[in-house]
Amino acid sequence: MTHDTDHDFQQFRGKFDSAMVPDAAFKAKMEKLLNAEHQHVAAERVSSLIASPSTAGSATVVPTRRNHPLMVAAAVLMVFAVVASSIWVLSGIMLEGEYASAPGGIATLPADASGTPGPDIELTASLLQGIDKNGYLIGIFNNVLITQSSRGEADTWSTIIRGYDAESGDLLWESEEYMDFYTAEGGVLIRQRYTVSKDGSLQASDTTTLIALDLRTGESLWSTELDFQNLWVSSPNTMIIDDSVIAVSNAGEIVALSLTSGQIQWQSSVDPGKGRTEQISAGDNDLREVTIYSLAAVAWNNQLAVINGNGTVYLIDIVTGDTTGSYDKALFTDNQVPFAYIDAIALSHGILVSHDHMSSDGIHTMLVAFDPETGETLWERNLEGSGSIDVSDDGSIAVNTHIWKQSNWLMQLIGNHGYSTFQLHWIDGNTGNEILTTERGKLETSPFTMTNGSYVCTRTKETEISCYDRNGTRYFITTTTSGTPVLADGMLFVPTDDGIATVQLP
Amino acid sequence: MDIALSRDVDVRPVSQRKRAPAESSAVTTLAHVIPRLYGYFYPRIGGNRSLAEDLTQDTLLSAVRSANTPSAEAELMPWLFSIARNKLIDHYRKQDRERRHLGQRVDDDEFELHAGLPDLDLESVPVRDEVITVLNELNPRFHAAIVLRYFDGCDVATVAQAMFLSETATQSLLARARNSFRAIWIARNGDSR
Repeated sequence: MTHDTDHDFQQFRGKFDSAMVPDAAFKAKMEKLLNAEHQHVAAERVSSLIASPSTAGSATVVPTRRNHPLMVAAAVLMVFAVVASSIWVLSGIMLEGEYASAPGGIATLPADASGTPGPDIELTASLLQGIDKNGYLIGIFNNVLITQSSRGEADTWSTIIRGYDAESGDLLWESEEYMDFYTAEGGVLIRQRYTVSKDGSLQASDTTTLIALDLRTGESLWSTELDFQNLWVSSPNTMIIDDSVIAVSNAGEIVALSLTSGQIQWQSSVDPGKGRTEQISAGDNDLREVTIYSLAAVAWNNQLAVINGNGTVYLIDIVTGDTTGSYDKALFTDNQVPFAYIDAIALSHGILVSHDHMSSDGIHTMLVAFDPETGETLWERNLEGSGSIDVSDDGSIAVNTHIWKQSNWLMQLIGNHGYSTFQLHWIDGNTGNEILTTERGKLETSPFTMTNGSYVCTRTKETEISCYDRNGTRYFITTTTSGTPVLADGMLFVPTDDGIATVQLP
Repeated sequence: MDIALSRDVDVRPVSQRKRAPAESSAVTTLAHVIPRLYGYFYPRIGGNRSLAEDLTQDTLLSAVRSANTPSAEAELMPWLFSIARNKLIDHYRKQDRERRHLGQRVDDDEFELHAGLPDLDLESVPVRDEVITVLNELNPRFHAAIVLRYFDGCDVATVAQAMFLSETATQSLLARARNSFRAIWIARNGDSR
């Protein structure tokens, strides 16, 4: 019996870090690009750092006859001691002021109050019995909790889907297929099935199959094969509107199917805009060149608004599939990145598009709400940092923005280089006004953020989840999470190593 | 009181000081690190040259555009490599997201525990290329786990965070990844232990 240790893999460490000369053409292109970037970016700190001549080797003060070395050394030491201690105290005060406004590294600050932090209330989680503890929590639809589990040691890809009663934890059904992507409405779960080759690897295919399952029984209702380009490399936007399932492919192809029969009602397409070419392995060591686009679709007022990577908005009649209009919203004109990851969400009076925006002072999260019919901007926000976003049915928006906050140089001397920080924004989607904002605090783990309109929940510490209400009261749960929780009505479902735990919010 | 930071103080004689053209010097310095970054990405993404170039470009442009830059010269490379690793993790996550649930199924009977790797001469280019080739034959999650854990020396918690897994699941993933790597290595090169 061979014991599985990783000693043989330790030999790789540090062995694949050596420099390699890329193509001369690439190097020349990069130099040109970097020069061009300096024209656009006020990267003064980078420039000054890099352009500052090194003082190493030239900082030695040569003693002269008038300056005895011991006198010079004593004077230098004295000056250094005075300066360092002064800055030490000042920097300590500065950092304390920035991060000491706990509880828990974060302070609630209702936007309409005078800075009075809300209270902190601890809630306890209870384990939902009977649910596969290795299951990844997909979501809760019509009181059915959907998990996805690995087939076991032999397969790292999770392919067993189970439906549980969300209240009792009773197993309702399970199915085992290569499937992904979910949306649910009216008791029907829509999933997508891929084509997988005989040896179990990914098979390049221009078709995909949508499958409808009965949420309570798991019974297959229908399946329909779609002729989409490159769908296998990227998830489609899939939504259920009234009695139709609308799927928008990554390449701008659109199809509407009957929710009850799966029959195709209409098909259409739009220009997907800017794309990015990638080589994807497609099984049997084949490489296939594909173009990936960034495209968002959202249903609003009986229309489908599709926003492509150029910022062009297409309006499509959901009933007929006819394109009723298009215009250039110019969402990304100042965006320096050639490929914007965009998201679109319906609000009660318009739609919201979010995307990252690169500028000379770092990444910003741009939120633009506009009337899709006229293109008129209703409100827009520019939040510092790259953010994760969630929107509730009532249109309130939770955004958690992250930026690196660098320590001052003195703190860096003792190895403290800075912190990853977060700031939680809870925004009223109707007005763009902030409902609640936290102070920027230290981020100690990979965060998630979600809202159901009554609460915004986020994780910023490894063992703690915080949920805020609209008054700034912070409810916190001490638990580790093995996946992303789901906030459904007044209940938070938290995947943990021991299974799925539930927390009743007040 | 204004306090001059050490990097602002030029102690050379005035006659030796030159007013460096900041932009060209910055670009020159960044241009010098292109091979380091390219050499970091190349083996970690299966030897895909164009992808290594894209990630190198992304890293350098992010560095130029960043508002928070290191304030000491010695921190420049660690800082650039931290950006590079984030780009690499983003790439793995994107790859994972796009292929979630898509195969790489391995038959149960292939899951015998394989013998460990021999001591490899990793200074030899053919051996290094073979390691990269074997990595490339792994499924993307195995590939990412091996690179982060053993090429970059990340601890399990960091790998878990990068791959959105619990630490227990990550340990399991790493065990399967190692086994799969060994199986492919032995199939291609024989068991030379």
